Amino acid sequence: MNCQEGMEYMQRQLDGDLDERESEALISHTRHCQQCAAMFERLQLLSAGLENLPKVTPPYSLVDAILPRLAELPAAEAVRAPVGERTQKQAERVVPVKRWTDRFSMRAFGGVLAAGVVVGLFLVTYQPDGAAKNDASLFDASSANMAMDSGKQSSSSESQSAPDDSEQNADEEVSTSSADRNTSEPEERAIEPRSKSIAGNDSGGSGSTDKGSVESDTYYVGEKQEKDPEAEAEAEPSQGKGNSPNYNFNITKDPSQESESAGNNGNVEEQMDAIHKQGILGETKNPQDESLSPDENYKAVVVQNELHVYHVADNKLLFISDPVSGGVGAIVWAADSKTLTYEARSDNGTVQMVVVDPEAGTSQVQSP
Amino acid sequence: MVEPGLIKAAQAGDGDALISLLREIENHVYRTAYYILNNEQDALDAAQEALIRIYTKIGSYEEKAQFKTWVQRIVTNICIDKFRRNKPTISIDEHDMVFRDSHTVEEEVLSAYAVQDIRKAIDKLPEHHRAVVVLRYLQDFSYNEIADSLDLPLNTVKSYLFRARQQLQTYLHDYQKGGVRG
Repeated sequence: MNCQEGMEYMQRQLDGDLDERESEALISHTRHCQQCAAMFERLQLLSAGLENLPKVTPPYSLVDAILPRLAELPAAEAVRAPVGERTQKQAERVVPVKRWTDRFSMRAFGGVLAAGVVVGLFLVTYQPDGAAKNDASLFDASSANMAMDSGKQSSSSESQSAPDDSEQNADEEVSTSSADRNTSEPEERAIEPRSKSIAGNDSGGSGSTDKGSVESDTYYVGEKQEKDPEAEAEAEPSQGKGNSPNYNFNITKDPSQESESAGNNGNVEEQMDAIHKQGILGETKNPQDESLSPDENYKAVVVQNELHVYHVADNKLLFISDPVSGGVGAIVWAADSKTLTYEARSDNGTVQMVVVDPEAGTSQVQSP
Repeated sequence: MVEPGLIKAAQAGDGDALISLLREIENHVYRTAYYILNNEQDALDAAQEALIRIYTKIGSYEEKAQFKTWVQRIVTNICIDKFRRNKPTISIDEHDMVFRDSHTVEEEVLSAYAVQDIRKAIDKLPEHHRAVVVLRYLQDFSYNEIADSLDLPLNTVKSYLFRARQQLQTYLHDYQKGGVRG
C-alpha cells in the first residue's frame, strides 16, 4: 500500500467503511509509515472534533415563529374551499404574499418590455409633422390596452395565470399612463373632453399612494387562483369583489380604460371595466347590480348571488350576505341610508325581504 | 426518526400532524443551516424558510426517498443559495492541499481542536464540501444518504468528504501550530 491509498483507507476508516481485511492493511501501513500514522491521528482528532460539535438548537421555536405565516398559506392554497367562504376570506385579506417580488419582477418586466416595444415601434414608424403629443399619449393608452388584451387572450387558454396577467398589465398600464401624465397631461386636458377624469385622478393622487397595498392584494388573488382548478369559474366573484379592495386599483387604471368608457362616472366605469374583463375572459355571468345609498356613503353590489355592501369613502367591506340561491332582487335603500332592503329569491320561487344594517354589518329577514 | 404515520397524516391534509412533523425536524433543519451558514441569524432565516417550504411541499414528498434526506435536501438547497448570494465562491483547489508538516510529527502534542477553530475551518470550505461535512457529522448521514440529499453521485460525495477533511485538518493543524508557537 502506498501513502495515497493509505490516505483513502484512513478516510474510509473514519466513516466505518473499511472491512476487516482493509483495516488490517491500513494498520500495517501506518505501522511502517510515520507520516501516515501522524496524519491518521490528526484526521481522527478532526473527526472526533466534528462529531462533538455542539448539537445547536434554535434559541426559540422556529415552528412557533412561522405559525402566523403558515396560517396564511393554507388560505392561499385553499383550492377546495367552498365559494362563499373563500370570497369572504379574500375580502378580509390584505396581507402581501411573500414571494410576490419574484413573480412581479419577471412578469411585469416582460409586460413593460412588450408595451415598450409597441410604443417604440410606433414612435419610430409614425412621425407626423405637427401631430400633438396627445395622439401619442392616446396611443400609449390603447397600446397598453392591446397589451392587456393579448395578455388575456394568451392566458385564457391557461386560465390559471389570467389574474396574474391582468394584474401585471394593470401595473404596466399604471406606469404607462403615469408617464403620459408627466409629459402630456396639460395638453390632454386642453384637447380631450374626457381627460377630465384623468385630471381628477391626478389631483387626487390616491392612486399612486395606494398602489402598494393594491398590488399585494391582487397578487394574493392571483396566487390563489393560480392553484385553483376552478379558476375560470371563480374569476368573476373575485373580480366583483375586487370592487372593494381594488377600488383604487380600478381608478388607477382609468386612463387606459377611458377610451372604452368615455364620459362615464367612476361607478359606471368600474362596471364597464368588470364587464369588459368578463367578456374577454369568456365569462357569461350577469353584469353586477350596484346600488348607491341616497347619501352616497354606501354602495351595495351583487356578486354571484351575494350582496356585498361597501363604505364608499374607504371601500371597506361592511357586509356580505348569505348566498342567495335564486338571486338577489331589488335593492332598496332607506331614505336615511341607514338600512337597505333586498329581495332574496330562493330556488323554489319564494321571496324574502332582508333588511341590512351596513354599519352594524347585520341583516334580518323581514317578516311578511 | 419521524414516524411514517405522521408523515402520511400530514400529507393527507392533517394540519396538526404537519405542525407536529415540523416541530420534530426543526432542530435538525436549524443545525444544518447553522453549520453551513456559520451564522445564527442566517441560520434562523434559512431554517424558517426551509420549514415553510416543507410545509407547502409536503404533498410532493414521495416515499421512495427517505424523509430525512428529503428534508435535508430542502434545507441545504436554501443554504447553498444563501451562501452563494453572500459570499464569492472559492474552489478548494485554490488552497494548498499538500502535506507540508511531516517534519514536526515527533514534537507535536495533539490536543482536541476547539469548536471555534473547527467552525472557522468549516467556514473556509466551498459550499458543497461544507454541506457534505455537515450532513456527515451533524446529521450522521451515510455516504448514500448524503448523495440523496445533495443529489450528487456517491463517488463525488466521498471525494468531497475526503478532500474536505483533509483540508480541515490542514487548516486546523496550521492554526494549532501557529497558536502553539506564536
